[in-house]
Amino acid sequence: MSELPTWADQLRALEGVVDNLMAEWRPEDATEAEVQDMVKYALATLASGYLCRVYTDARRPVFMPLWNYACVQGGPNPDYVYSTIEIDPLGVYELSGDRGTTRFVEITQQAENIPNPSLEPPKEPPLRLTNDLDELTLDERGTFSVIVSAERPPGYTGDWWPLDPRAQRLLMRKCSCDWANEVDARVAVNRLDDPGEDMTAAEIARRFSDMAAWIEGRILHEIRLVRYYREHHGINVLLKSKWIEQVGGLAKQAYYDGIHEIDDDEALIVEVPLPTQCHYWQILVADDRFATVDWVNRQSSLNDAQARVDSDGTFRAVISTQDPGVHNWLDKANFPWGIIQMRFYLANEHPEATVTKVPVTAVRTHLPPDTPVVTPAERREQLLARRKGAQLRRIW
Amino acid sequence: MGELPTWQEQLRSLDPVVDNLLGIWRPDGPTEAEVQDMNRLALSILACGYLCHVYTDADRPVFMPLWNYALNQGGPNPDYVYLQTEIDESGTYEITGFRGTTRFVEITQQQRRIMSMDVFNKPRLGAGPGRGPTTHELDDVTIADDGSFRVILSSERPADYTGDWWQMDQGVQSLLVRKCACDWVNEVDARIAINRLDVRGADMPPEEFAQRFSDLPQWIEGMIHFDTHLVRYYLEHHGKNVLLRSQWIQQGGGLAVKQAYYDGIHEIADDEALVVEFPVPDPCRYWQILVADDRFSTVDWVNRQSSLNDVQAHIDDDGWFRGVVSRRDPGVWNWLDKADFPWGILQARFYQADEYPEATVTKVPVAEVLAHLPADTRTVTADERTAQLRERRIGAQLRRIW
Repeated sequence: MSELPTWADQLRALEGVVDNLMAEWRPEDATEAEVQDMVKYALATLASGYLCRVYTDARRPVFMPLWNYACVQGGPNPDYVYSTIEIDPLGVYELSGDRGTTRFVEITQQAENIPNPSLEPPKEPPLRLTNDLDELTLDERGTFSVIVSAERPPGYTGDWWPLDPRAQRLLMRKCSCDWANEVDARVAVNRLDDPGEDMTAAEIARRFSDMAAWIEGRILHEIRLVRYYREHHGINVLLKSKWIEQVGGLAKQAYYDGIHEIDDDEALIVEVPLPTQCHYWQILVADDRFATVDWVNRQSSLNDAQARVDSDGTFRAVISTQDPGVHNWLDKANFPWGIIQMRFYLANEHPEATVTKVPVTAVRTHLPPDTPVVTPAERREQLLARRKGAQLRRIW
Repeated sequence: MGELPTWQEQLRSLDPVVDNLLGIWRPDGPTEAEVQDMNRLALSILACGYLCHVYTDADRPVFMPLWNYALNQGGPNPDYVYLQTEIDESGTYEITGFRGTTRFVEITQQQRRIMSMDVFNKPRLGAGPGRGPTTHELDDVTIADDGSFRVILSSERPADYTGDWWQMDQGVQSLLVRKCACDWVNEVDARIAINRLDVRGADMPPEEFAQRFSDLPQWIEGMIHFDTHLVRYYLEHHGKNVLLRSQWIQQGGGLAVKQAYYDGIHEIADDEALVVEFPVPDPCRYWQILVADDRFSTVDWVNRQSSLNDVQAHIDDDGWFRGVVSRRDPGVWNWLDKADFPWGILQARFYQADEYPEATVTKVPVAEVLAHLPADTRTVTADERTAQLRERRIGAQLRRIW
């Protein structure tokens, strides 16, 4: 009857995805657990693909959840809530809502709609136009409204952000440090120049057909990026990201990356003298696909509100599988190797970080004597509070 | 290599889902648009199944988004945000967070994790004879000055614990949260976290993940089949172009403790309309009316005015609600936009009302709607409709879904 793909056709087109991913992730033998973990990863990315690619519509936009604790590809920062819409660069959009009280809310214009797995540097500087809700006028209730369009609408004198002709997508990053008590922004988007219409059958089918590329593009890119860092930064180090600098850098934020690869009875001590001024900083551990270690159930990240800073102004953390009994444990879980990533946002200096491998039982001899001991009961409380905070963030 | 199903095998097991559903939904053959729409719905419920059944873990629970504008099954009430988590009846859970200001927040103890026709055939598998599943609400617990709350859910009150406690029913397998807001823009949604206190949990073993993925064909088919069947139950037992108190809900005796549901089928031509009228009960803690398609997918409420609640609706001077169900804009404030679906469900609900009024439904030409409404009926111009829909879109997006 129809020219459009059937459900079975669409599923068939997805069949090669996991084998293709496994071939890059584990070119030698994979364990059964690793195969199933990649199947789970692909299923999660299919779910995010439905939400962010099939449901979404540049004429009837709604910010949809992209990366989060259930969809962890892309090395999500646990402090960030990531939401996205597709956008037509010729459209006129109104963003409105409540600012909330979180640390910052950024909205970045992106030129890519379906992720490209390649790490090849772009021929031209990539589109990285980022605005921040704190640029906007808030009324006494904390609400805002901003028009985003190629040109300022005639006669409009309110807040306005220019829309780049290359923009295909907006990525919103909402950053919170005290997860339980900061209030997340609420952001709505409406297209003002086009009321849109129900998605056609052909458009639904086309978007469903994008799912294989969506899953492979997102996951492959991150698998390759981890391997770039292994090659260019090295093992058990934390260096300012060469890849970010190679693709043009970020105006506000410095990323540090390196590989962690230690045995279960070993630990890495990461030491960073903190910048004297910094709007936000954070550190996380991820696996070797840039899947951030489960941050709901494990302490796999620390930010400037969660971490304990030593009296000399240095942040010292311990990366390990076994609990080292210190506040600043970064739980790398059972992954054989993966990524350490740190970021400084609007910092006055970008310090050097040192990474030292030690036996996990000898961690204390490498830390200042006043480093407090965290008992198992205290760890339990710390993790319960973390679980609660992660759930109190607004994901969608 | 392993005994566990591969990705290809899991996908293959999903193959028959859409054909099975189309066989129930359109036994005489679907149009091309209907096939693609069912593909989209099945994909969306696959995503829902990942979030609510594969990701979730009774030892490490998180409330996950179940039904909403993108996961549109179960006849979602646009005023409700639905969240679900799996739990273990033997566990001790703490539910904490901030109450917010929305109309109410209910937490229902469910005896199942996956929807199926069994639920239809035995709709009230509750805690005991004649009882439905237990539903608590956040207004039952102590709210601190900062709006926070904490309640323990377990089969027995923990020793020496004197704070808020809810008893867990036998056989409970999941919790369903319903957060109800009427002024979508200005009410503040509750923030809710759940932790299991008696067990720490562990990473999900590959065998359990594979089993949960293998459940997804049943998850998708069960959920969509259930609601498609329920619509046909109403077609048979309530009839067309009516709005009657739900026989299915009444027969179970459960929800009716707090809430009365009214259901009926709408089936009209594009140049026709249904005038729905009822006297609004007073007092009534909350009421609402919606239109859905014939799978109980609520008509897109972000982009269309497919529902109205006690804040959004205009009430006539005589205390009556009068709404107009139609495809074409009838030019009245209380339009219920049924979109292009050939037929579907009309549903109203009254929550904690003293009386349950009779509703009348009258089919008229859409061009003559005003002749069947009071002279002071609130009408809208095209510009006013645009503004109304823009406000609605904003409100729908400002609700917290997850």
